[in-house]
Amino acid sequence: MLDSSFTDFVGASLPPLTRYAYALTGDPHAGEDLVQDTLVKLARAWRRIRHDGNPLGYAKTVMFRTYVSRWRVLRHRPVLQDYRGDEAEPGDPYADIESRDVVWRALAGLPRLQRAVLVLGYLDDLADEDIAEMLDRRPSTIRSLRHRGLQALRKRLEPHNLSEVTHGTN
Amino acid sequence: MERTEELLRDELRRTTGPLPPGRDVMVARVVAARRRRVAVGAALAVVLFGAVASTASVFIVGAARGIESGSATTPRLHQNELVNVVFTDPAHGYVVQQRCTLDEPGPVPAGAPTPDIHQDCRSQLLVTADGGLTWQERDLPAEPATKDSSMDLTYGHSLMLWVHESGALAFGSWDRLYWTTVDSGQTWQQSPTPREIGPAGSLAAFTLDDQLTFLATGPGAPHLVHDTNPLVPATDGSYWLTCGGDPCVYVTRDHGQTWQTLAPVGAATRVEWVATVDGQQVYAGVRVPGGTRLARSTDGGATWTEIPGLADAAPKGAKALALPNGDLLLAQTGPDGGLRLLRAGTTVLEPVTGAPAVVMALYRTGGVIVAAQIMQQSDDPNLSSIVSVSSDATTWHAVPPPPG
Repeated sequence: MLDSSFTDFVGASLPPLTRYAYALTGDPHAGEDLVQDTLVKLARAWRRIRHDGNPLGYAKTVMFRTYVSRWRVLRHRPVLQDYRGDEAEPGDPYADIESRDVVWRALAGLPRLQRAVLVLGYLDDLADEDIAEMLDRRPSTIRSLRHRGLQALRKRLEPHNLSEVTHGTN
Repeated sequence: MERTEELLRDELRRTTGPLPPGRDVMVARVVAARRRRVAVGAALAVVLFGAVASTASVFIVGAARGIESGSATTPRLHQNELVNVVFTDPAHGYVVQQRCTLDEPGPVPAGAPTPDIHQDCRSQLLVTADGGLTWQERDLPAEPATKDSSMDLTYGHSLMLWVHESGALAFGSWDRLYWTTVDSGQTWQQSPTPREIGPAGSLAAFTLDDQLTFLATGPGAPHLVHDTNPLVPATDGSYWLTCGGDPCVYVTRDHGQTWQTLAPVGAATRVEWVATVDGQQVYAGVRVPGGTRLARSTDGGATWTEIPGLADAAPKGAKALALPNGDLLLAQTGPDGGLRLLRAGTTVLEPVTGAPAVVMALYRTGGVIVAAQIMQQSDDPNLSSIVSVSSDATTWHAVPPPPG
């Protein structure tokens, strides 16, 4: 029997957890599975987590650790192929959509630990030390993963001339 | 590398992700998964201890039937999301909430095509003239007025509702069209020009009286302002912001022309939140190795002192709001995640009763405090309130959810 406070927590935390899971997996169904696995682990220790406070922070840590552990081999994960279509012409109104797709495909091609570091580093702006604590790695390892991940991304984005695309702040 | 980082950050921030599954559906999935693990564990134990094979088979089949009956297939899902709350004075306030009904497709087999999810949304404007005691519904000028998350300046604080420079209340849609009203939403006039988006590189912000303004630049890069890192306006014209992953606070006193970097606590690893009313007395929730601290400055951030005895004031995700009387309201810091109040000059956090149990948005508008859960999803069409307002942080009035 699940505590009613756990049910309330699930209701309140589903939007942010779903967003993180999607950023990690790039796939809505795999993301839902990851959220489910995270919540199953949380449910086991819910009383302690609730007593410690900040269950959402705990859930995020569980989710990222689950993702970088053996989760990939336990779950079927669709593989996104590199995009090799026509490049958008200057002024093409769909260029922005296409560039977003390219970024997601490039991200999907990264090893899961690199991807987790980049998601934490650029979605949450977490410092390397915080990411290290969250993923149970050394800060120097995280720095190296971030650098290698960015290098790999840049290499994948270069052929698409994404430096031409700009986004407004609104 | 900077361009790659900028692209990646932009993309991650712009993507809100898919619609989350319904709460009850996910709870049912968690229950079923736990039952399955328990059942498989028990079955393995039976086999290991040499029990009769048929016994184990019966057990597993029974467990599988249990999973099947435990998995919920919910035909419809009901959702309420806060768009924004604006009070033009302590008595007169406006709340826009968006209610959606979604077809819940249920579990999708691996490899099956993604089903279309039909979604009906309707935004609702509620108006109060007595500080939130009673609310009346008014028609919005545009339907369907679907919320666009790119208009969120922070969670629950969207550019769909603001105070126009003329003083009228303004309501805008995702395509930058907007309407104004001067009679509390009884009649609306469409603006002939689209909503301002500000000069390139500028940073959109709400002023203290909920007008839209644009700071000249962000502190280094505008991306630091996002869902959970709001710009905090102060009465002296300054704007405050935490440095995101770095242990510092940014402040601009010249509308974004220049930004100053302040470090509240030397040994900090991160500043979780910053709160001020007047730009002189400033509070910061700081994470240090092994814990958190509450720092206070009374000279606009030039010097800081630590308030003793408050070792749990800034866990991840905590939020804070400074009040004009010097009190500080904190959310997501206690065991239950609710609100706690630090009265001026004291070092004890008091639980606040009557406010929402889960507070993911906390801000002031027109002298009124808003505490909101942001979003609720349920299989039950009778949704509960997700927003409460208060003039003094002790007495709270719940804003009714939109009717089904």
